[in-house]
Amino acid sequence: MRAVTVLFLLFSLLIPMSVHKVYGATATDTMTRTTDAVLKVLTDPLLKDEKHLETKKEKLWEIVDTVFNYGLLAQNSLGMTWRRITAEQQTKFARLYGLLLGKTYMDRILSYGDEQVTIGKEIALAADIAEVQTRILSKNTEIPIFYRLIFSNGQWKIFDVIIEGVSLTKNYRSQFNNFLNKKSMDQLLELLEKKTYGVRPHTQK
Amino acid sequence: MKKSVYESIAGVFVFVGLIVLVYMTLNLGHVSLFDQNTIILKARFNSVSGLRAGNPIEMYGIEIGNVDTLDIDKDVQRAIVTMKIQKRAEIYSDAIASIKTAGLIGDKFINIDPGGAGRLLNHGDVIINTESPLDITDLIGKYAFGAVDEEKIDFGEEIK
Repeated sequence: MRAVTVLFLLFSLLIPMSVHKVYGATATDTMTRTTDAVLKVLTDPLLKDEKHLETKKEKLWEIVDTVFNYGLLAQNSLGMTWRRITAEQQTKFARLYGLLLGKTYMDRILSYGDEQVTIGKEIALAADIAEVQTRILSKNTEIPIFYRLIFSNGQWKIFDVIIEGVSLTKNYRSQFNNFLNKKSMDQLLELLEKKTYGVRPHTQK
Repeated sequence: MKKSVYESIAGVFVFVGLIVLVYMTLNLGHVSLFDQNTIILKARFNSVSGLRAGNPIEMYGIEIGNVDTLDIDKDVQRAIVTMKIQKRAEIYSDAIASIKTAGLIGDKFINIDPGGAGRLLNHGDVIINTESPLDITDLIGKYAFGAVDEEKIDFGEEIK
């Protein structure tokens, strides 16, 4: 639970005030800028009041949208099923999965306390893939959160998050596979639609 | 004339016998001379604690290969595992390799979720997405310490 909170915090940190400025020359640079941007939104005195919550959320959404590769996240979370579904289902799934992830993380990000985020080393996993190792330090614990980013179209974007050694993609892939063993893709989309209903009322993604 | 026929027959028997012997030796000893049915895949992990050469590789719970070698990748300071995997197991670029423990205290093995949305991996390719084994004692320690601290505070308040 604490790990999830920390992840959300980190997510928050990833969000920049100005979305276009989060892209860095390296994966670490991107993560640093994103983290700074998220913290800036979270600690913005003008957005502190409860009535600005929606504005704050939308600013965080902008950052999340910019730094996450929803397409690859969705593709990897379905595995083989991704090839078997229609292009229309793929598009819908990527949109809903993005909302689901965003919704989950948004709650955590907004519960940000005094935790500190440190950005550690970057490991090149392939020519265009890097892992940025970060840690969230709270009062008694230190939670390692590793971000895996892919470089494409001149931008580094996150396509997997490893919290305490557990992969976000692996976790969702197992859940989706279990669901699809019993039910259809349309039923999964229906479920995701229900779960994400009203998550982002102001924006038609 | 007759003698040479007998000798030829004996020679054929000996030859066939030798072939059978070699075949059985290779098969029973799980020795493969050419390894045409396996490919080599690699995966890098932050830690391969408990994993040994020869440990099984599983996919859907079925053994599809073995750990061939364990090495240190000095460039990125990680452990690199070379795996011999049967060709019949099709593994894609979005596969996830996780180091698991058989049961509670069993041997370590590598579980591969083959993916399927990416490209098919070939001999010598690398599985990018990996999960290192969870250090249970580390995790317990981390969360237990948090709890102990909270208890201390509660205890203090009770005394007051």
